[in-house]
Amino acid sequence: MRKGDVIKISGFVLLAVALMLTLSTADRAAAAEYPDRAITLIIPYPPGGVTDLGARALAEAMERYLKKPVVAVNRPGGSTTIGGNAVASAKPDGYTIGFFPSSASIPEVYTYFYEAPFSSKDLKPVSKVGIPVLTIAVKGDSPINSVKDLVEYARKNPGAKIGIHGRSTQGYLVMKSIAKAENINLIDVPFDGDTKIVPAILGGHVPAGTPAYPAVISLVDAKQIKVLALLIEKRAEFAPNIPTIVELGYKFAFGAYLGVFAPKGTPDEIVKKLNDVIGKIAREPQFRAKIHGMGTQVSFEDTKAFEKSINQYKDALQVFFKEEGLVINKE
Amino acid sequence: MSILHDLLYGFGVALQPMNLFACFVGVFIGTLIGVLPGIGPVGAMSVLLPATFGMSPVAAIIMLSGIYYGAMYGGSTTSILVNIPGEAASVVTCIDGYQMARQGRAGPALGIAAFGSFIAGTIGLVGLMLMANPLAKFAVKFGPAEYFSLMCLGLSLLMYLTHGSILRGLLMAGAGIFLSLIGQDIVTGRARFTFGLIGLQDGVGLVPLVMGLFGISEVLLNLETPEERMVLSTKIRNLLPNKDDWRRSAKPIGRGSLVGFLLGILPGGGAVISSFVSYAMEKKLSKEPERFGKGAIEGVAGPEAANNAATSGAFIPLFSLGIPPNVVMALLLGALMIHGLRPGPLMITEHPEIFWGTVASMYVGNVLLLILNLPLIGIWVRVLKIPYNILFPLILLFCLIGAYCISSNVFDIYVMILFGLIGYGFRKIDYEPAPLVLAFVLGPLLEQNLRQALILSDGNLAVFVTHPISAVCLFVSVFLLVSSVIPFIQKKRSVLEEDS
Repeated sequence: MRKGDVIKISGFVLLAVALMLTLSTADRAAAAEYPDRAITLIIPYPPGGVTDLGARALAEAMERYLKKPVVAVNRPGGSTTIGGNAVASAKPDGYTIGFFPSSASIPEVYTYFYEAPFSSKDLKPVSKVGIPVLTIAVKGDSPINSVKDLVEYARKNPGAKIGIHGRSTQGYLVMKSIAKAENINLIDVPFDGDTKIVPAILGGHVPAGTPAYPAVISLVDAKQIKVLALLIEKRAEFAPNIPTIVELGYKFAFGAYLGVFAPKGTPDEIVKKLNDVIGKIAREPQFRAKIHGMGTQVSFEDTKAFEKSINQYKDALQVFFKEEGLVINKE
Repeated sequence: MSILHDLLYGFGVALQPMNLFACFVGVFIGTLIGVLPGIGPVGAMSVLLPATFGMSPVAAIIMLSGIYYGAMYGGSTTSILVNIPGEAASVVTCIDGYQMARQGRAGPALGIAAFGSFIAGTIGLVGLMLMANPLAKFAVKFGPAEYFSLMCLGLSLLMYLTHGSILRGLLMAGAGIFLSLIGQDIVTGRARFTFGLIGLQDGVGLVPLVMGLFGISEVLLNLETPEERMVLSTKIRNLLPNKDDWRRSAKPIGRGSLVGFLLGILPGGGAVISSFVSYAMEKKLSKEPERFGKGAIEGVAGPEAANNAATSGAFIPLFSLGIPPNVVMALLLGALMIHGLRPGPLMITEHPEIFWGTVASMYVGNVLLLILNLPLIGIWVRVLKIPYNILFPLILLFCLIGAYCISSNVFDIYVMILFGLIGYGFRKIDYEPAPLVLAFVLGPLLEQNLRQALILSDGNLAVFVTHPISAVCLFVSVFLLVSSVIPFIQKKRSVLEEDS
């Protein structure tokens, strides 16, 4: 071996080692300094709704803590699974995350309604941020003044109608649970969103319905609509006078949620950092006021607690859909 | 006199420099995005929504609503010039508007669209101002049974949309209804005809469908016959509508405004349907219905007035009930909620600056739009002088970008291209796409309301005649159907007699 070759080879080895060292430090630095560029927050809804606005408020707050832009991107469609899939199939580097309800985060439960190309196994829950608040509402001059009245009304009028958003939604779950507990027969009339349910109640076309709380706030103030109960567990700060159905004695296994999700395989440090930031935001009075103003309940759960409640929700939902026959029998 | 007082107060708000500026920015952006196919007001408003967080609530809503009605002005431009509807409400404008452009009358078509929009916008505003609350109360009288019958009435207008064979029109309507069935079943929630594609889960998008059927197919068709181009570029005569045009358009604008305003109030009704209704109505009332489809200015004036009046009508359920009748209004509602305001029955008394400020700003905005749009006509007409080999790739490019922008979804581009090819095939065999679009828009409303009404009545079909509003709508639609089919049969008979 010639002297020149030795120098060449050792030079090459040195270079390689140096390169590896830089790379590994760069790697460590990247994790320590996450984020070093803009983060995309995927919203599986079209712009303008309360969920979209809540997500945008979160993105704005995250930007303040992370010191990098957090860009809210609407990816509506496919019953929220298009947005869900965009995160599930993204690179797990913490730069693509999503603000999801249950339909986008546990699509495997909803196979009767749609087929998604991913499942909850492809997503990593980061933290729970809020609870969407639905109501049981009647017209302002209706003789029905409480859930008890409504149950009585249904007993006297078997097959009483109630306007809901569709059979995969929270309103249907709760309505059916009440009907079962009280042994009454309620017939669901599906409407295409709050913008259809609320006028149907106002016009007296359905005796009761389950619109979202934000869609009726102003009508409640004007006494044109009465809210009998909120379909959540704990009494809401923004509606201290309205009972929840849990307070009224109904068992409630379905805790709907809105939370932040990352692709499976996102490094733990990044998930922790996001979780910490969201936890701080959820305690900010300013953020809480904004979200509560839109009729959504702020409810923070860290990664571990959130994973647990998602599993509970999933199990309860699976049992419910099976009982209702809303499953696909694969033979 | 209190309304006058309130309105003056509103102008006081709207004419503050910051709000005036917001109004100008809104209508300017609205005009631009109305002209670009695919990119509708929803996209532009959602992009600009965060920018309004720092503004006062009045300035925010003035700017956002400016985008909305500004887009209605701009939407007709591409329909008339290149047969591509800028947004869904301008589909019918294509029928006669594009024919006018081919006859070298693009200027008057664009002019009457701008003036018609201005007049209708103003009429709609007066209605919004004077009758917001009683009309909102009337609107909630429409339940599922009433809606179903109203949609039947809408569907019976199909007869007036075709200028060829009625049978072919009906076949296209059938295809439109079928396409509208794709997506989630409203009662069970199950996916129908989606073939496991999540892109079809929420149905076929209206905008990609329309852009494909009209725009892409037009480009394909013109690739075959480049020489027709000569007609377009040589004969561009006067830029503004002449006396005769005005005489023909005055009544259609008035009727279009009324129809548009009333349909705009109903949730889910809106601009698209009202433009179709206005077109059908003008054709029915016209002494020379045969001119329609061949460049009748009434077919541009009426629908353009209707879709603009509908935008004013759409504010009624938002301001008086807090119910947004369409996606754009949902965005406005969101913008107000971000500022801690809740539109609803108490809004006008509790926050008069918002309601009256917005109403007054719309008067200002309509004037700004007219000033903005009239000089643009000269520029747009010159667009037609661009050689086809440059114009066509550009049109295709804008369509592709537009289709993608709807919801950042590549799937919509495929849908648009597919319907471009289908639309090309249809036009080759002389089937018109307009009835398909109308049926596609009405299809889901028909189905949902039929099923809701029947669930509510425990399956009793009598609801459709025992509810008075519903019965009237059904009666009128039967009358329209019969009155349009009889001459058709008679004509057939006379043709047969002549033949024999």
